[in-house]
Amino acid sequence: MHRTITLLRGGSRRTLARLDGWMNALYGWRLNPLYHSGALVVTSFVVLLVSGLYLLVFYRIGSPHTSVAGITAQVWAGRWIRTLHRYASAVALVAALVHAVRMFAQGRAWGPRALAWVSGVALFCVFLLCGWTGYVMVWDEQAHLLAAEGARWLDALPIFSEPISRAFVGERPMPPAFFFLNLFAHIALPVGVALLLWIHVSRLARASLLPPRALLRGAVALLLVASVAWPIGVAPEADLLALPGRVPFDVLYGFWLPFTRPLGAGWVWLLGLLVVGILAAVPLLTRPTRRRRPPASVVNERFCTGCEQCYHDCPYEAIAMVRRSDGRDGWVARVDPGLCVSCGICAGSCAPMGVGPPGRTGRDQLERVRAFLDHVRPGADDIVLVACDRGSGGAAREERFLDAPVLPVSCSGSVHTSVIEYLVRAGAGGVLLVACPPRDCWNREGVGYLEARVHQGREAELKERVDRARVRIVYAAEAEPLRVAAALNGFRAEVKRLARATAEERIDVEAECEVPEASAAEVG
Amino acid sequence: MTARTPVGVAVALGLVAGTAFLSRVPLSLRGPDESSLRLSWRLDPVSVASCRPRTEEELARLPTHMRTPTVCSGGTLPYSLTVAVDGRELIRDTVVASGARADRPMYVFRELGLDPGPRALDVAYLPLSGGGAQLPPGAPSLEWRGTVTAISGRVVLVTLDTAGRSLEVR
Repeated sequence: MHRTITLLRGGSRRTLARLDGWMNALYGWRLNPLYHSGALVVTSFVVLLVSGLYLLVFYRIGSPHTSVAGITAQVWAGRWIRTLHRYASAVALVAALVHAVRMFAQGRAWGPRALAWVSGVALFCVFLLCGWTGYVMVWDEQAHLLAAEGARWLDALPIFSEPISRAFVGERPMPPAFFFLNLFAHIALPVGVALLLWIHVSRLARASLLPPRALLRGAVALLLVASVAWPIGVAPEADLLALPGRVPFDVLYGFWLPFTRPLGAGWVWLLGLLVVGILAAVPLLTRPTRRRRPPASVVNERFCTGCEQCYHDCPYEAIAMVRRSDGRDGWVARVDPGLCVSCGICAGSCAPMGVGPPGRTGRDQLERVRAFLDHVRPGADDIVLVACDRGSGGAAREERFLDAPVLPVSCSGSVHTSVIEYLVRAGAGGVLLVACPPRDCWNREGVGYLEARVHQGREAELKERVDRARVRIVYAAEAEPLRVAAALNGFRAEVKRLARATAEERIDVEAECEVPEASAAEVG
Repeated sequence: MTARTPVGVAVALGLVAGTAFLSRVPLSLRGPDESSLRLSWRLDPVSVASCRPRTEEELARLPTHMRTPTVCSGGTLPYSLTVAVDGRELIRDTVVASGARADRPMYVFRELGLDPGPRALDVAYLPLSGGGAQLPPGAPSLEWRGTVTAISGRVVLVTLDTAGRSLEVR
């Protein structure tokens, strides 16, 4: 099973990386819709709510098909709104699917992220149910098929003394009570969506629920154009004494119908539960073995000044400020291992290098840089690539990329600015930080923090003494090595024009960052 | 606006059009010559329970809230359902009242494939009296014999008439 999951993950990651590369080329990383799949679901959901409220005014449970036909006949404010409602539901489902595949492919479904995954699966199921009840509301041939199939499944449960399917045999017309119940479900389920959405993002410190304004406007405009240009019609009214023939069918919401119809209802339940069970178990199935699981961050109280920077920067609200326990006054950071995903962003945010995952704190990073420099010894014309091992055009997998030495890091947001300073002061011609496109940061906010620490003075900022002309940041997705190559070549040419870099004899960044015992005691 | 913008817009339109198409794919879920025979009706169960009043001693032994004046044994009358099309028997079954205690209404709900064209249909829904015992009065016997024309894509429905006393074909 683990092997299958690994193969599946590898395949979907490669496919996604390729698609990301193409979409970045077309729209740029800021507007790449694949990076905003989750936010596009929310956008579609808002469009669904607004258009649904309008449609509700005209819907009649006493004459569902006639009222829907009436809405569709209103060319100016009926047909396209109904079409918009339909297309938005389709986009919501596709975007949700893309979002789920991305999280699965990037291994972002286990540990503290499990709640988000499981609530996401529940959201997906509720969306499917919402679509189901929406289609039944129309009461056309497709609605008949869906309603009869749903009733057949319910009849397999030992809770009804009479089969519900008998309501659809044609003995008598469908009672309005059925449509009332269906309408109630169609309205109540979105409330469940909102609640699940809140649970879905509750773990995040700063959830981005909507895409950038340009993408938001573009997506809504596209939906409007499609709704006006290609409106949906109304299929013939459901005839309970007819066997549905060729019907316009929603593959997205009813993909299961051709498979379930030949099966017994018991088998459908069994297979359905199996599929949902496997999906819900993805956090367990994709969880690395205990030995390979990255450890949660820890705080070294000796160095922690209680500045709260890591507390503010943590994207997962895994850090809290608590009273010190070492006899000194003031506050100290404390990491909740149950919420920490070991992203290492706190390591990059801590000026005195007192917090981070074991082996990846600022101090550990400096150790690695010293070993790297002993091994590589970059010259004045050399550019050192500090590359995130998730994206970066795959540069982090190489020891040298286009003859430039590569220092791989787990996330560019975890890079302590002292590492950059050390490399520059050690005589490297320049440092090219290769990060994932910000919206595809596996740790949500790492890339933004890197940018802010290097260029905007955010703690732990890159010191003034470091020549910014020798530091460059480039964003590249996994399938964009050419972007890295272009940035590297351009940067090389620029560095050549600078004064020749010189190596400092004695660099002790670590000591410069350390809070002396005496002054630490004065803190607070 | 870059040189790639028109391509980007075209791709976005294509993606939305593709998604929209997926929400309305023409699909056929039945063959060209398919029709169906559907039997569906519901009747109150016929009780065959024998009841007697409880004796004073019996009542005294029961907790206060369980002192019902009569005690019954037995149940509801089972029925036999037989369906034949063109002289060939397709269903022979026993129908009992629904519910965990078999005291809920009796229902028949069957669906069979039928070749299109005129078909001789024989439906019988008759009470089963165990060992030739006398049937309780008011136990309905339902039968329908005749020719129906099965039309492709349509359902032949056998159900109760509006009065609920005999079978009819719709």
